[in-house]
Amino acid sequence: MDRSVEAGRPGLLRGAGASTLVLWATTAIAMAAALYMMFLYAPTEAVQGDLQRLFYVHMSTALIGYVGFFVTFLAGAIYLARGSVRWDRLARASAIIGVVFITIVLITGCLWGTKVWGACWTWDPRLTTTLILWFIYVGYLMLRGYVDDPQARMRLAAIVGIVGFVVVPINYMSVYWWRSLHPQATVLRPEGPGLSSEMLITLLVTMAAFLLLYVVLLRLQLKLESLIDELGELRFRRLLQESDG
Amino acid sequence: MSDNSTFLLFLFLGFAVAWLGIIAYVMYVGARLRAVERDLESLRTPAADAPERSSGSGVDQD
Repeated sequence: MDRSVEAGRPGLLRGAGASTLVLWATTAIAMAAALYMMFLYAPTEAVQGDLQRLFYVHMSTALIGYVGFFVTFLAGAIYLARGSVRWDRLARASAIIGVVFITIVLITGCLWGTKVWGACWTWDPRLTTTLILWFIYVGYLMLRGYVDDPQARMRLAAIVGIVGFVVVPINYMSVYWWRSLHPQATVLRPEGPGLSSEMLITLLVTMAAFLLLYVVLLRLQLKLESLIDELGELRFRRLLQESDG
Repeated sequence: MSDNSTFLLFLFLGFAVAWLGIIAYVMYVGARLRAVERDLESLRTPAADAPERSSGSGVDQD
């Protein structure tokens, strides 16, 4: 690749291959399309007016939170079965992204609730289980800092990541199992989606754009995690050399 | 303030939180990546780095 082109790129894209550039460009285009549809294509809702447009971001970020924790669950299970560090790395990277997106879900939900329910927070089953989910995966990430032995740390983290995922289906079903202020599903219902076709298409495009963003962020976080592991290994080897010498 | 203008304000706040959150996260990962790459580089080339450092320091120049 031309060095002048390479040097002109923003830091995160320096050294990136063609597939990464295509992925970033596709994500940017999808996100621009989603924003256009959210504000200009989707109709204004009759009761909540423009505030309802927050729904597309709120739902999509919740989906990414679920996907992030699902990948953590799956990678943790594969790590326990095979013992390969790269699965642990994938679980860790995905959990970080899941926590970031669930944090956004909690904050956007609080803002939406403030206007629609008159309260930022209620101990509603959906809200409470979302908060529990957030605490579990923040705990999962913190746990990694408290266990010194790498094997024990990875094994324990995988178990927490797998057990913690139990809360995801509970969180999804909470609006059906308990009395809840939070609306029930508007898309995946036996009687069909409860949205106009324009709203449904906008939601699907926004979710697709956020899924692409998840892949971009996961690759970035994985690169960081692998470099951190490499650095730790090099430091350990250096310490060994120094103690030998 | 009319209902629609407060709706717009909350919509703006919601979008701002979402996007600023994502941008802050990407910037954090970028900064961490650069820092780790720097540390790795300094660990990988200790022998070549050492004389450069001593000749380039302010103390030696004095």
